[in-house]
Amino acid sequence: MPQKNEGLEVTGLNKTYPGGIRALEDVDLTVEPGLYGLLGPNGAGKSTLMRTLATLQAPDSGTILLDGVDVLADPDYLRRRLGYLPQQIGTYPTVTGRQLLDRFANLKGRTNASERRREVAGLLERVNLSQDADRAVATYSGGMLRRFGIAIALAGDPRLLIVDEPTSGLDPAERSRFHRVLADIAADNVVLLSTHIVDDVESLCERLSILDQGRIVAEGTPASLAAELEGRLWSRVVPRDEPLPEDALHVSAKPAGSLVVVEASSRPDDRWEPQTPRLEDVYHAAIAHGSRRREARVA
Amino acid sequence: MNTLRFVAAQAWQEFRAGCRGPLLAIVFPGLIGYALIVILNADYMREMGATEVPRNSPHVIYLMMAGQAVWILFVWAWLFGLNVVRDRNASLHEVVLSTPVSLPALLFGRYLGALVLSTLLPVATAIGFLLVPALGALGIIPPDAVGPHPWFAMGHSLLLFTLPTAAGVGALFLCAAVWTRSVAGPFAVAAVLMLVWMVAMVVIRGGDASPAVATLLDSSGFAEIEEQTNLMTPREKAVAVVELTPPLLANRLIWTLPPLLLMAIVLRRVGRERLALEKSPAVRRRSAASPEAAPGTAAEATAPRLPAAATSWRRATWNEAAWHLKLSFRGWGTPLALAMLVATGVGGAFVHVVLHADGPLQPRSGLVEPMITDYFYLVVVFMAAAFVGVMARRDDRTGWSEISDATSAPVGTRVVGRALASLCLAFAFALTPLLAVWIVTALALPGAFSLAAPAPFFGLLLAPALMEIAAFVLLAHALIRHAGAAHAVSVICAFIIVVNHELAVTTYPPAEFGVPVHATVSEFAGWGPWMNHILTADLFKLAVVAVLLALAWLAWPRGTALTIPMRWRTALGRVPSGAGVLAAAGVVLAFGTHVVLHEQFVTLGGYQSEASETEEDAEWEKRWWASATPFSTAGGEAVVDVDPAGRTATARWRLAGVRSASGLLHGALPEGAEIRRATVDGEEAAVTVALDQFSLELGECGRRTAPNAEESGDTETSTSEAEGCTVEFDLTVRDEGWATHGESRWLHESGVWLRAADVLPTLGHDPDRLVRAPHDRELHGLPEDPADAAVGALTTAMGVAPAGDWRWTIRFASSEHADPSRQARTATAGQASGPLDFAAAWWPRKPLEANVEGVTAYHGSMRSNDVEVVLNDVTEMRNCVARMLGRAPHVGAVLQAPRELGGTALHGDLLWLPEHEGWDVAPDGFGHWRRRATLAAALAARQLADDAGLRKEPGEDWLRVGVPGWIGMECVRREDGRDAWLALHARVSGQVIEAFGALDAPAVSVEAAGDVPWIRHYTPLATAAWVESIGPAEAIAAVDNVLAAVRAGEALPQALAAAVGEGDARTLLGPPASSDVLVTESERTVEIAGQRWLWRDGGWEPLTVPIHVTQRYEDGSDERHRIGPVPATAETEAPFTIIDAWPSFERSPSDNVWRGEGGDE
Repeated sequence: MPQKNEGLEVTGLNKTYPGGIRALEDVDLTVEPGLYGLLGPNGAGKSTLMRTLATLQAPDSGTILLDGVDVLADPDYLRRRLGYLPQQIGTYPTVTGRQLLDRFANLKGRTNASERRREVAGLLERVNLSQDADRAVATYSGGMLRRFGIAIALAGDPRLLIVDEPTSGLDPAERSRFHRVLADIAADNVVLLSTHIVDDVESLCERLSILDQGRIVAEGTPASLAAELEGRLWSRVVPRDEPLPEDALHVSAKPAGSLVVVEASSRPDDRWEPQTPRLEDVYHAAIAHGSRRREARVA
Repeated sequence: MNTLRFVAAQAWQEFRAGCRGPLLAIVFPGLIGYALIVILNADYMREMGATEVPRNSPHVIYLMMAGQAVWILFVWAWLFGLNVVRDRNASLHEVVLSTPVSLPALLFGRYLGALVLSTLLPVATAIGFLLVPALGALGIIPPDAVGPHPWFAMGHSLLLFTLPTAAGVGALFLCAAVWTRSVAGPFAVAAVLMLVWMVAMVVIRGGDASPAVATLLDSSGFAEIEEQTNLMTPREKAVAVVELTPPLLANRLIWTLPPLLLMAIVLRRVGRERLALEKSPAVRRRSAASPEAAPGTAAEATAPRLPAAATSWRRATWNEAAWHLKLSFRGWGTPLALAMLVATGVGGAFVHVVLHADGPLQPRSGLVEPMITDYFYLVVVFMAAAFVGVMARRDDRTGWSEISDATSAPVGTRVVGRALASLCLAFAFALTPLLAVWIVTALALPGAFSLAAPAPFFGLLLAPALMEIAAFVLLAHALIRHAGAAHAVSVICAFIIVVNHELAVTTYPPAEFGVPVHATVSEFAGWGPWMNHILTADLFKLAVVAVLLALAWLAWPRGTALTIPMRWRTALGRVPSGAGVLAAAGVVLAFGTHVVLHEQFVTLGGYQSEASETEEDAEWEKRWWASATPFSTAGGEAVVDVDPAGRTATARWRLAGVRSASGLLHGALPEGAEIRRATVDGEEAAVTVALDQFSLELGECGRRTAPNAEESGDTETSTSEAEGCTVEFDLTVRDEGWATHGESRWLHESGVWLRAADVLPTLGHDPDRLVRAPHDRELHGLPEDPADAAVGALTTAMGVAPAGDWRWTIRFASSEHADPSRQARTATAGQASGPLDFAAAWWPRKPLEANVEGVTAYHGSMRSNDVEVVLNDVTEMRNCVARMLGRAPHVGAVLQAPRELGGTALHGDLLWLPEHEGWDVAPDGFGHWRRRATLAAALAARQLADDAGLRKEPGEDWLRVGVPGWIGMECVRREDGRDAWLALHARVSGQVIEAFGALDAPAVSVEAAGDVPWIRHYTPLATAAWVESIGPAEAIAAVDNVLAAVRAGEALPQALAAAVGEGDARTLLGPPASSDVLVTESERTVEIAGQRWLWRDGGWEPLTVPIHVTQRYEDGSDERHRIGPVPATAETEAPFTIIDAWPSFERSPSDNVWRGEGGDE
């Protein structure tokens, strides 16, 4: 059982960029040890939130507590416990994977040489890069680079791991391996996974939030969020020559046309079949609800 | 869209992208600002040869426009590198490369855009010069410094230099960017181009090897412009148009066409795959014993976590520093660059030292270090800036900076780690020249090889300067987030530092940022006199480094989306951390050391800027010049007590028979001197001291039988002592303070090198203190010309007091630090019947001694192999002078004096021969001839000055410099042959031309010139040409007549006119004249042609007068044949030399010779 104050607690986080773009609006999050998913479309403010939580940028207001400690007042407390993998990492010239990982392990406080060497070797093994550890990082493929980034994020035994789109570019086997790594870490620590790959969150995360236009529009466990939509989702394959309904929650391509999912309290007509809510439906519904609420506020 | 339109569109987009970036915003104002600094700094303009010409003179435009291409190479490398890298930086390269466009057209269009931008950047300098009239109108610069807008020079230099250079090197940069897919390639090419430029300018041109080859190798064209403008007179400079000489044309073609051709080939062959793909994998094999290998990694990977050891951020900082340092030397780039640097350094050292124009020289410690440092400085400064910049930006890649920022390492760990690595790198670069010194010494002079001796020079002088630059670059990269802008600021800073190093724009040592501490190390004194100075100055530099690094620490960005207020708040928040402590420590140390430096340089050392010196001279002229009145003494005695440990000397100087028409005795005090007490006839007398000049009230005894100097000029010693006053001075002289620019000190516990002028006042008024430059005279409210002063009121030309019956004694106190039995000194007492001049030396440890024909040489062990040759030279040259003049001064001893402490001169009977003039040259070759000529000239000068009782009167340079200089060259001709004489003549001619290209003040006439550089070179040649017209014997007879007349009180110009005729006297003492005789072979005869010029209003004006020349056969006789007027023919009977028999300097002596049938005339 998690102790009181354990985990990450975000309250009333706001951030507006100098150009006037409001990236975060009263964001509240409570993340207990374990894997926590953060879903949202592009531009929703996920990366801003991730960077803010990683102390890379300061919010205009709000608080962030890690295990009860105000990390805005004491960012080093968080940094000493943080593993961070940004959304994109480029190549790094003239240095091998082992050397670069060694360097970042040093920057993360592993200053004892033998301990650092052991950790580096373990991390490389963990992300399946042992065989390529002495290759120049500049020669790594995109997938290898992601794995390498994860190894760096894991260096220093982080209490809080923030990973932004970690599995994009990984093949299924690597992705599965990575899921296991994350799950392993999440057993004792807080792992915040930002992604737009709903399957990752669905299969890994105990809880999640959905972020849209800087606001949390849904929060809960995948099951509880899905339960809210139980009996309200309907789907059918709309042929190609037929217009798509305007209130579609989401549309996906099928061989015979488009599979359309709508939300309604009752079946729209006989062509629609009940849809068992999945996290993807929850995601789209939350975005749609958020939009409607904003429009209502504006009106 | 057709290809042409596509190319144009790409060019436009590239141009706009370049304009939007911060590079333009930094470089453009930076260049305009730099141009303004240049324009406003009269000394700087003077260094560029812009005297007597407007500050916006065309030649300055040419020099600036082409010269800046050298440093702007790095900015261009960035601009052309972006042609390839821009898409990759935005991760759009795959998108762009997959579009159906022509890749060559795409890249070529971008190349054109970058080319337009690159060409426009240097225009900023020209814009700066367009502000000159406005500055003149505002009174910021004098009106006569404003010339018409040099539109033609601007356009011409843009089209002839900037555009072709940018096109050519831009093509190379583009090719390098294509090959490396990064800006590293273009930067590497820029570094190589700079190295080539350095070789061209410093080794080939600086070493006088081949101006044409230097022109060919110089991608900027600067070498050729300098070559052409150096030879221009001020008048030519004011309307300069750089001529498209064959070497320059070849240079432009070489640096434009082949690079463009290469680019065409590269663009035609480059494939999308090359630009799209990452590097191919390369597995590094690692041995099992590699320390990085972790045994049993697979097992440990799944092992339970070990408890982490406590974090030591100090250790992390060291690890970070080691990591950055290791990466800087990884791969082939850095080692190759250093190897090339060392290789060119060795080549440069051979050309500059071993094969020096005044050599061959022997590459001993003390000589070779400063020369090699000068050679390396330009390159290591830019290399340090570039390498530190790369280090600062190492994490500046997508995602990596965020990962770094999110690590738990304090900012201090990352900044200080980089800082330590940067400082180590700077130190490594500073030690690179040491390798070159070792190699050169081992090869050229194995006996002088020392591992340890040269090391302090680079470690203590060069390294701290480079560390300052490294710290500044790190700060620039901390403050400026845009990498290109930060690089541009760093390079501009490096350029300004190099300019300051070359032209000494700033002369106050603590303000010489990035410039090595100045020290001159000599064999005897060693580092002793310098260590306090160097260590304090180094501490100051390290304090500045600490402050800069602390600022970098405070400013180092951490995180994203940072605004200036956020960064400011963050910086303030870091103040209580180590950054604040470091800054505070740096400021305190800088303040403390600066207090010491200021006291030593300014309060004790008397440092003044050039402007302050001129201002003080102007004040001196206003205060003292009108009071100049004739004076004389009958002689006297000086007793000097020297305390080497206390760096103090006390002197009691008794002057007998002192007379002065005004009843006042004037004189100039030596530096650091104080008159404690003065008595006249035993009574204490009032002394007024101001601006280092004193005036002593003699009272009636001085006027008792005052000489009527205006009428008789009688300053002779025949008057009895009873006819004047007896004056006694008690003086204290402290050789305190530190020399700002490495001048050797005469009084130190490591050795005393004393000359009369160091311890005794120089009686009279010194006309060399008069302000000569018209602009300075006007600025300080002085009349157009200084008033004439009576000859008898002026200081003695060579000595501290006029001729008399003099005795002197010097007593050296024993130093506590030196074993009395090991101390040594030269003769400590003497007497003279001419002007008072003497010298003596004291050593805490005995020097070596050698004796040849009664002359003793005091020398160091490193000169044991040279001393016999030196003594032989002294003996032979003395004999030669005696043969020519019929007499020669006695030489009792020869002294190996410290480097740069005075020039070769005979003080009493001690021949003062400083290391740089007498002890560096090899036993054979040009340098040896030059030393012999210098020795003969010094002996002759002493003889003539003593014979005439010469004062610093108008025209005295002819007698003190011109005639001895001719005698020196003539002695070399008689002893070493015509070729030796010809080589000397050619070298001095070159120096005259260079001197007229860099005048400090208008050259009006020899008579009115004062002590200026061109006089030293011109008068010997003009005298030699005059001697050709009458013959040596007649010339000596005329000189003797002049000596007698001057000694009798006649003014030198009148005495000369009486001796040689009005015409020759007017030419010898009048405006400088030059001639150029050309001897060419034509079938069976030899054609002789000639041309003459006279210097008028800042330029050489051709004269249209019949020219008669003298033909001198090389048969050992002094016989001369008069030929003329030229053009004329001569018979080809025997080898001969033709000289224009007219007091002038021959511009190119080498073509005055016919070497006989089969000779290589």
